Formats: sequence, structure tokens, C-alpha cells
Amino acid sequence: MSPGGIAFLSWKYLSYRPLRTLTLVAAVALTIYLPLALQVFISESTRVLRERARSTPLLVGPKGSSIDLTLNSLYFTPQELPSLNYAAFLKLSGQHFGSAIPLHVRFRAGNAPIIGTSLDYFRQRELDVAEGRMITRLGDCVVGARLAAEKKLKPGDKITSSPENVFDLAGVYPLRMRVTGVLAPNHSADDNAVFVDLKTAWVIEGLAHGHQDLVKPEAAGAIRKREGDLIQANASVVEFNEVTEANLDSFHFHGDPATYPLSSAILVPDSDKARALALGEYQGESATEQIVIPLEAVTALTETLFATRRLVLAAFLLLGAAALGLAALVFLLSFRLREREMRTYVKIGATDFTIRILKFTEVAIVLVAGIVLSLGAVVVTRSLAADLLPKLLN
Amino acid sequence: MKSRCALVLGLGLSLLVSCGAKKKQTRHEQAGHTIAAVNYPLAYFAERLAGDFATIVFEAPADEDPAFWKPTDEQIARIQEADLILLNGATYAKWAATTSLPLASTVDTSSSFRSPLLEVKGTVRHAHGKKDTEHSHARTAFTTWLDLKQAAAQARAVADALRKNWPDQADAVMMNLAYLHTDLAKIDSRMRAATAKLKGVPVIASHPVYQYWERAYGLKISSLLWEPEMDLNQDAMTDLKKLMDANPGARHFIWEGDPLPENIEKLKAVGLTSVVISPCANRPADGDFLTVMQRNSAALESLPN
Repeated sequence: MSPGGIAFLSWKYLSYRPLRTLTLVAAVALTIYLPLALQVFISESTRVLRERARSTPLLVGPKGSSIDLTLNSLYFTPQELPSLNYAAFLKLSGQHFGSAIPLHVRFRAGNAPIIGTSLDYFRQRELDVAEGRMITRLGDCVVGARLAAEKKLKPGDKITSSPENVFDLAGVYPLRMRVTGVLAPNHSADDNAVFVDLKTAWVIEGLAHGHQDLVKPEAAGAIRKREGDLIQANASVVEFNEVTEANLDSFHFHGDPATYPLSSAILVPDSDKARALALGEYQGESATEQIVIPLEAVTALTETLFATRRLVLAAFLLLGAAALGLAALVFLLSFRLREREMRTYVKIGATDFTIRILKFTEVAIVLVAGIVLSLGAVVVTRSLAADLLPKLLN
Repeated sequence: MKSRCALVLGLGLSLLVSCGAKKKQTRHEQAGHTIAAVNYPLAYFAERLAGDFATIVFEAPADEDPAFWKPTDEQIARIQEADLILLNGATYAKWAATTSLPLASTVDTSSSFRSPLLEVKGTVRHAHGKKDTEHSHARTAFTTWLDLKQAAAQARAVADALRKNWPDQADAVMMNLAYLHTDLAKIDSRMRAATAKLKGVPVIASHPVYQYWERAYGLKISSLLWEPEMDLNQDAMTDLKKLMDANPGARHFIWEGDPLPENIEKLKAVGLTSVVISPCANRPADGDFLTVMQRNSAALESLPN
């Protein structure tokens, strides 16, 4: 029998029982894919984590878990961390160690994190506006590339912040924000985020607001008490839930700005000396904030990941061995059931060697198909790992 | 022979000068540094200190007060792109409070003042609830540079920011600052001498923009809300009469800009001499910040004792 004939007979048999063949191919593919994908995902995640950490030289934030602070600042993961007050940020800026970039990561618009920051963030992350323009005023936002694609957002659209607790009627009011631009993709957590000016984040927090002019006659019903120059408004005063050109001037801040909250601050030191001075400044016992080297925090995290990976790999190998054993059993049973078919081949002239080649070809086709499928899936996993990581972290 | 030598020397020199100018222009164009300022005094300081290596962007139109001017989104975008953004501070240019500006390149030039900022009096304050602290939507007095010592401090803040941004230009900036400080100190001395005759006598001003000038030179100024080109009708004159009754002995009336001739006459009729003290918040039609301050001093010097 010619090689073509053997291949033809093998293919005919495998396609005669498609469900069995596909199950075997899937079992082989999964047995190979799972440990490989785990390896690829972890190594790719480590690369992506380190890359982002490397582009974030230092982080200053409230004392607590350095990994939580790093994940919150780099991946915008929701964390129950205490806040850093604006006075601490101003102190950091005033020490002239380098460029200090504020981060306010608390609110969400649906599932997307709303990041309050300054324009310096976009320069640091090399984030360009692909469509539209950068934020210019209170109430403006730019959205990450993936978020824009998912929600079909474009410049001129509106996006609303989500209330933290729907049952808290006295809580934070949702703010309807103007989308001024869509950022170019940078395959990081930035692609899923909504970016606003820090002051806009404070508006969402309720620290600033705009309302009807209490001096005007139409606001008469909203006045509770008037004593000389002091007007006290009641709860009926109309507050704006969207910043427009018409009401922009009415927005104002309450309380002491020094107490306003931030999540953390990225510090980009001007020099090695400035870096060393900054590290020394915040590592003293009297320091009320902590300074974190994100690369070190990420390294600690990836070491934990590697330790976990070894355990999971061992489990996958055992499972893989069991799956391959089952596949071998399926083949052996299948060949036993096909004894009459094999005898027919012998009667029409096939040798024992040809029969063995026939059986081997069937097994080889299933194995090769499984390997090709698993390798294809690994390639896809590698390309998606960078995008998947922020989603998994959130 | 001598004239030929002089011609050759002259040609050589002019060639050198033109080459130098070309070099300077080329370097300037290549560097492409931009500095945005929110008012003319800061733009002037930046021009004096960094005009050789940076372009100064001052977007406010000539016919508008930069304090109340509102930039368009496109203008804000241009300001955002500047390497350095000079704010006056003291709540000047309210648009800056609601605008997204890069913190790293934004400088509040009045943050180093030793004397506290002054608050505009007589504005309605309000509170939103029992727990809320009362507050006013009014601004802090913002014409900081009319106290020429404060102007010098603002120029120093601009120079510090320039040195930080462009360390290679630090020497040139410091030399320019020394010249600028000398000029401002001269004007300050002249202004101090010129305002001596107003001390102890109440002065009425057309607009509440002279608070720092009043404090710096020990004056007593009460303000109206008048514009130089407005028609002084019966209501306006009644307001003036009330202010004059509250400030007996007032003989001088200060305008921000050149008033209408009939307004000068109307004030003369009630015993007030008009004098123009321009805050020079916007780019003057002729001259510069220093010449305007000199004109202010000269106007005061010309007043009868």
C-alpha cells in the first residue's frame, strides 16, 4: 500500500468518527496547551508588569501594602487604601526631587476606572490622543482605546460616573462628563480607563460643585437664611451634574484644598541624586507616607506568581499524563474493535507492517492536530496576555 | 584710505552682526521653546528674561482684560503645549482654576510673596447647609504687580522656573533678571516719591484694582465700579457723592485708562482731579510695562501738591 493510500484510509476512518476524533484532538491540545499557556501567560505578564513598573520610577502613597499601592496606581485595581492628602502631594512637589504626578483612583464609570490626574501623566506614559483632543477644562475626559471601542465612544459623547452606592442618597452625585478624545492604544491598563483632570475627580467626590447663583431672584426658593453678606441655601438649590460652558464659572471648591484626597503620586526624579534623596526622605520613621519602587513591588509579586506557577505546573503535568493515558486507552480499544477491519486489509494484501503504519498514522494525525491547535492557542494567548492582565487584575 | 578702512570695518561688523542675528534666530527656531503667560506683566518679564531663546505666548486679545478673559478650547490646547506656563496666582485669570494644565510646567508666580494676599471686600458670602463653612465666590485682589516689589518677586519666580527648565540658559537669565530688578527698583523708588503727596489724603479709584498699590505705598483708596468710557449719569454721580461724603478731603480720582474728556470735566466740577494709573494688565498700544509704569509715575508727579 502506498503512503498516500495509508493516509487516505487513516483520514477516512478519523473523519468517519468526527466526535471521537475531535475529543481526542481536544484532549491532546489541552494537555499540551495548559502548562504552556500558563508559562507564556506568566512570563508575558511578568514582562508587562515589569515594563509598566519600570516606566513608573517611584510611587508615593499612604502607608500600607506596597503591592496594593503599586497595583492600584499602575493597574487601577480597586483597593481599600487610605488616601494621600493634597498637602502631602504639594510637599512632595515642593521638594523638587522631580516631576510629581497626582493619581486619584477611586471612582468608576461602569466597569472602567476614572483616573484623576494631571496632563503630566500622559507625557510620562507617552499617551497620545488618537482622535479628538486632550482634556481642557473641568468635566472633560479622554478615554482609553479599548474602552472607546467597547462602548463605541467618540469625541463629543458623554460618559457618566457611577455612584459608589445606589442606596446612599446623600452620597456622591454622578457627573456627566464630556469625552474630548480617544487615546491611542498602549496595551496597558490605560486602554480601559477614563482620564479626567484631578479637579474633575474632586467634583465627582463632592468637594467642588456648581449651583445656581444664590444672588439671582430665581434662586429665592433655595435660600434658607440671609444674614448680611451671608446666604445659607437649603437642599432645594439646583446643583449641576454636568459642566457646561454656561455653568463652568459657577463651579467652586469647598473646604481646605490641603485636605483633598489623592490615591498616590508618581515621582519621576530629575537625577539619581534626587532619587536617593526622595527615598531617604520617605524612609524615615517620622514619614507619614511611604515611597515605593514599583519595580521592586512587582518583582515581589512575580516571585509569588512563579512559586504558584510551579505548583500549578505539577498539577497540570499529572493531569496531562492522565489525559494522554486515557487517549492511549481510547486508541487501543478502538484498534481492538477494528480487528475485523484489519483482517480484511490483510486478506486484500496488506502486510503487518502496513497495518502498524496505518495505526501509527491515525495516532500521528490526532497528535499533530492536537499539537498544532495547542501551539496556535499559545500564540493567541501570548498576544492577548498584555490586554488580559489588566482585566484579570480588575 | 581711512574712509575705505572704515567702510570695510563697517561692512565686516554688519556681516558679523547679521550672522549673529541669523544664528540666534536659527537656534530659537530649532529649540522651539514656548512660554505662556496669563497677563502682560508676566509676558513682559518672560520676554526680558528669556526672549532670546523662547517664544512668549500671551493669548488674551488686546481689547480684553486678561483677568476676565476666557480662552477657547483651542487656545487652552496651545497653552497646554507650552514648556512653561506662568500664572499670576491670587485667583487671577479664573479660567485657570477650571482648566487642565500640566502641573510640572505651571508656575504660580505670586506663591513666594511675604505679605499676605488681599481679599476684595464687600462681596456676598454664602453657605450650603448647617455644617458647611460660609464662603465667598469673590476673588482675592489680583493686581499684584502694582506693588513693584511684588512685581520683582514675580520676576524672580519666572527666572527660577526658567533656570530649572533650561539650566544651560541660567547665567543669561540671571543677568537679565539683575537688569530687570534694577529697572523695577528705579520705578519703585520713583513711584514711592510720586505717591508721597497722596499719603494721608483719601483717594477715589474708578475700579477696585489698586489694593496692592495702596498697601505698598501707604495710600487710602476707595473704589467705584466705573469704566473710563462710561457715561457718568445721575446714578453714577450719586454713587460718587456717597463715596466722597464717606471720604472727606478726597481730591484725586484714579482711572484705569484714559477717561472721556466730559468725564474729566464732570469730576473737576465736583472737585476731583483725574489721573490715569494704568495697571497694564494687557499689552499697551505703545511702549512696554516699564514705560507704562513710568507714565503712571509721571502722571502722579504732575499733580499739584
